[in-house]
Amino acid sequence: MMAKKILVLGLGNTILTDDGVGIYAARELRKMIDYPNVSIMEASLAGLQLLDLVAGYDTMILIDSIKLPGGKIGEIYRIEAEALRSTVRLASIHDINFATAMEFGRLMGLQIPSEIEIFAVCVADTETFGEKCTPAVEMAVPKAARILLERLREHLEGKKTAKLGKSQGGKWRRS
Amino acid sequence: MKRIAIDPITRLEGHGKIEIFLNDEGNVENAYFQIPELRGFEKFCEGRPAEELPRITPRICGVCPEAHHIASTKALDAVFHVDPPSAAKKLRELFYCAHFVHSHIAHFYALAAPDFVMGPGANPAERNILGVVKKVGVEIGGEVIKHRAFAQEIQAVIGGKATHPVCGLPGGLSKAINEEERKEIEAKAQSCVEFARFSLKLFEDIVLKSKEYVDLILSDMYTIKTYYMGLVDSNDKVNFYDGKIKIVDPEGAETAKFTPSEYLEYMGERVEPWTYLKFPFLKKVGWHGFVDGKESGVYRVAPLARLNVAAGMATPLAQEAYEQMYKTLGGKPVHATLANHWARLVELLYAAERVLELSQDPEITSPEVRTLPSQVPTEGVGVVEAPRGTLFHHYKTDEKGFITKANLIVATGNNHAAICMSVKKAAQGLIKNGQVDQGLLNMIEMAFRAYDPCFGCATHSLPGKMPLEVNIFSSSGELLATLKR
Repeated sequence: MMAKKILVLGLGNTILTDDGVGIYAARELRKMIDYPNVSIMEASLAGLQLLDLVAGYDTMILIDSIKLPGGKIGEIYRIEAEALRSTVRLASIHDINFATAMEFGRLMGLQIPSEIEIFAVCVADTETFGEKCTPAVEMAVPKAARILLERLREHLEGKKTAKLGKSQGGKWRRS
Repeated sequence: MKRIAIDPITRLEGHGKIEIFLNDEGNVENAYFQIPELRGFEKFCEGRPAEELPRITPRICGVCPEAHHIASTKALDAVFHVDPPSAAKKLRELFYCAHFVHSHIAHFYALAAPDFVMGPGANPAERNILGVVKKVGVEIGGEVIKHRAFAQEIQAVIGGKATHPVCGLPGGLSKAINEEERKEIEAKAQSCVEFARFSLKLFEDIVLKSKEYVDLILSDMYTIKTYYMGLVDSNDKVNFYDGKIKIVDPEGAETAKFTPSEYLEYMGERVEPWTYLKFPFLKKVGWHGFVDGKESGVYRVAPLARLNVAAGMATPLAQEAYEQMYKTLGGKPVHATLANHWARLVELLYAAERVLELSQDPEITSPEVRTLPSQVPTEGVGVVEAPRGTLFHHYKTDEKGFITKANLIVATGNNHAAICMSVKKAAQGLIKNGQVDQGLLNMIEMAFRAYDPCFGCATHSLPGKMPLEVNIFSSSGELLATLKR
């Protein structure tokens, strides 16, 4: 069996304070490992443009920021892609949302990763221009990188389910 | 009191918001469209070397980074008092027209087509690009992907990267293209021209052959009569990259034509207490509130505005499509907001034709793509047409070229007042006696979707993009309904 190709994708914007956290976590991870079948990338994109990046991988692990009312800043959440696929139908302003983009890619016969995992750091400020995260979010960067690393190793060893502490799992819910 | 709430999976701060206030009879009294504003841009830029801005400003927006890159680069030409060589200007324009191909394809197929192919009242779960492709054919989806990719690849050849280009420098570009690259661009452009023609044909078959849709486009509910603004070339034709800024009144008569550096003479900015985002207006007409007509300084930008101000398109096939559009819709200017979708496809054809034309220009492979700046930097304005309208970058520097002041007026800002008015008018036409539902939300959304607006663009924290929230209030200020998507 061919070793599966894994993409770790840090999403965000590094000039909008906490919005860069996914990218910083991906950069941190890049310093820790260098596996032949693992690509670590960063992007400030959404919707259809993500298709161009993710096609061709078997597994994708995304890391982004998230805003949750009442959420603890700096906490890392794991979001079930399945939940995202079936329930997120948010209006998009110029482009389509993530789940629709992936479905569109599949419909078009592109090789869209069959396993998609999404992690997100709960953030405070994504509206102010700045190249540095707020303190609680900055502190979450190495932790996020460690979670990504652990998850990556599990994937490479062929484990299906993520071993996550209770602070990371199952926190995605209707607010 | 009846209260309807459709909650999304989560709430994001800083999302787009429409607030609709009803009167005692349950009809629309007022509607407000709010766009979140990103804070501290000027402070962020201050003290940075000016030549960094073409790489920083594209980060503002995940939707049109290329427009910011080119506007910023042109502002630097002005700041450094340097005129790029002809080949560099042509390459920048080629790059930029490829961006239009990419952006207009995405908007039409992902956002505009679902309303017409699936119908404005269709279930939101089907009213998207997936529904469109299932209905019109999977092979068309393949063509969409292919030509978006072609446009991206053309941009990458010139820009270094497709989405966050690094080619723009004061006085020109960082690199030229060779004959092999030129041939690649030419072949892809040819294919894009055919795809643009196909897209117009699709629009004709689906929309124009349906009386119901043509009536909807021309309905009063989706019509406001405003001034229009757009860039035109020396022959008065639409140009995305460069030219003079032309303004026509609601009857189509030219009222101003000026060079970008003069914009402050023509444009004022109105501040309203309910939003931080300003409302640009025409200074010489004045701000008279959210009203249309010749006495109001409200103007519009974006595809329909560009076609309304210009004498035509500079390429032959697009010119034919332009003439057909005005013939069908009853002459210039067209005030029907939904006609932006048609105008966008006319522009798609022009952009593809222009890429092809420039790729065949004998000068396009010239190695002369840079004029080195030799003067002390001061101040400059750079203007381009972004896919969604006129975009202004204005910088001041100290004598060493460090930024002391930066001001941007973005396309959606230009359209801000008009979008508010369009939303209000659609809501007035749709909400009767306090009756609201999900299908109605989409019909109101259609009023602003036609502008292809871009909210505080780059904030794309999960789950995806900025949602829209519509709040409806009774005459006593009670929240009657919240519709979210």
